[in-house]
Amino acid sequence: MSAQFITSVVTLVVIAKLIMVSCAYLILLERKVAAWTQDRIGPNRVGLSFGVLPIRHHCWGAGQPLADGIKLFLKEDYTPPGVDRGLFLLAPVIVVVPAMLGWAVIPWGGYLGWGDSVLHVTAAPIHIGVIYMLAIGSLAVYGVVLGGYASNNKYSFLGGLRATAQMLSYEIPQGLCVLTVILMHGSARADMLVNFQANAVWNAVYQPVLAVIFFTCILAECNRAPFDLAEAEQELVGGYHTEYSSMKWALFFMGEYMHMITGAAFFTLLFLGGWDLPLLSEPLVGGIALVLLKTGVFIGKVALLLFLMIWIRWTLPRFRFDQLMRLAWRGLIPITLLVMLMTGVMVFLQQPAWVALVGNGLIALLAVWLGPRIPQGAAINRRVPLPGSRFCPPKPVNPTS
Amino acid sequence: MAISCTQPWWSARSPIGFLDPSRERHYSLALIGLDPIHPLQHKAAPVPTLAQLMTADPAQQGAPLLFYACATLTCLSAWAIVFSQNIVRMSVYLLLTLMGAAGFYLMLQAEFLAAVQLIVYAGGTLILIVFGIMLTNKNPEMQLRATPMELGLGALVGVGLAALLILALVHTPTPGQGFTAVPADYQQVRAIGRSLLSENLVPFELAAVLLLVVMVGAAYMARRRAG
Repeated sequence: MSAQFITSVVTLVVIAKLIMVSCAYLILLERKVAAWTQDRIGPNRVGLSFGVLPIRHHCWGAGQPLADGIKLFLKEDYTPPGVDRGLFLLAPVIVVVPAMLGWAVIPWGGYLGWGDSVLHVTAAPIHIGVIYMLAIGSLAVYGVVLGGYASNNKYSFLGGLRATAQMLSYEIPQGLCVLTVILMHGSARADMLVNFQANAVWNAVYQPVLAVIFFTCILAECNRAPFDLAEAEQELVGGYHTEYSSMKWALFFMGEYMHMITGAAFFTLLFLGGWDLPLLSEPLVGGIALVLLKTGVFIGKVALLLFLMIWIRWTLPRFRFDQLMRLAWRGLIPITLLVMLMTGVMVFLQQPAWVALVGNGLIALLAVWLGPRIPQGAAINRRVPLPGSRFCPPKPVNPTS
Repeated sequence: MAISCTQPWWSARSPIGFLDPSRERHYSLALIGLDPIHPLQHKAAPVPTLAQLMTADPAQQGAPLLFYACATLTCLSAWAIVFSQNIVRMSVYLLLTLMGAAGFYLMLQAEFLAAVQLIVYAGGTLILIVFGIMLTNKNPEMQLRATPMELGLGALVGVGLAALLILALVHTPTPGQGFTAVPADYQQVRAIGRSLLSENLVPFELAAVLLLVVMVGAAYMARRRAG
């Protein structure tokens, strides 16, 4: 049994358990942040005593996730009649599994020096790390689509279809962002990308436009507001998970939070330098203490991004569907293509890295200047005179009757 | 043991990896993980491929098991596509078949191909599902049945394909006859990129143009029907 194998297994187990628990507490954080945004207090009643332990303090509601978990397990697991049973059961699983698979290639803690060998603190240090993350990320939408289809409910179904179009559109700029980063560094290996950034400056500094676009795509990929059209409760009852209850419903939610964590880790890895912190990057390989420290830095960055995601959700209103499509196809994709072209020319001419920053600035200015000048075409959201709608002209009265 | 970086983070002269001309000759090294700047290069063990990880020492006997798992998944779901009559379920089975094929690529150490298989075909299957739903829009319980003529044609194509595959199987060299394992530092992404842009440039560009033509044609037809 090789040392790398043991390291991989230990990393995988520790990270998986950590994320499982933090998913529950992310929900509490989400509710707290929502409360602060809306000038409320938020959940603060359920302490940790549960009527058994001698804890008198309310613990700021820290028992809420546990209580929610118990409640969800004990609720009736109702499968409505008329659903496609196989797909109905499969959908929540398909939502959760791809998010978990993504954690395998993230270099959480750099390298561990063990005797004479250098071990990767990653579950699977593979050559195509970043491309693997892209491939896995594209699978998650199946859960949403199949759940919506199998529910035999029009609103669920509409949610599923919306998710499909959204995911297909936002995967393109996301993939282009990843390609640009690979082009810049000449490697698709996750740990090498972090090394390059630790050796120099984080990618977010030199490619800020790319970083913002990638973050937007992550929000869209995990169906977070302002991109949560698949579960728009004002229009679609509950969206794609209307018909789900108990733990199946909870799995959808766990899937969403796990996707947030995976996406935030992906962003940290590509643009925020992974485990790198300015004064910490010096020893590349170290003992267990250093690895733990680096893992802590990585997790800290992920936590900051998660807070940012939650903050955005409770600040920005939801997009309309045509706005969503226009943002992807008229905004993000052309800009990303331009940035990629610029980076390619830069790499070919062997320019210093600050040229990328200048290029990013110029492209951002160009986009801001050109955006309002592009002909908009016919309004998609025009009033359609469907029979029965309030825009339908009144029926002509038949004079003979 | 602690190996320290030769340069502190703020004095790195060339922030973007291989742009420094003095490092240009090491460019190929950067791809396989031996970054010339880092002192790590002399210490780092070669990164195992996923196939090697999966067949790591404790699970050495597990490799055939993995193969049979992939094979079972691929074959069973392929059968299910043929015998299912619900078009959405067919698409899901197709997805499972494609994932089984991706598993084979992984076992053959073609990780990049496996990832591309997932990216390209997973997206494609998604489109299939949407089209399937739209086609069966009128009657969700619509059943797809094949006519005798279609059955005969299918059997003909199937037999031909089977003959082709058996022929290929017979002519494939087995490990004893010159089939060599992939070296540990083989850069598949680089090799595939090179071959696409040099030896196979014409088919690659032709396929791209063909796809573009198809897209323009589809958009044109959709527009005419709407107008």
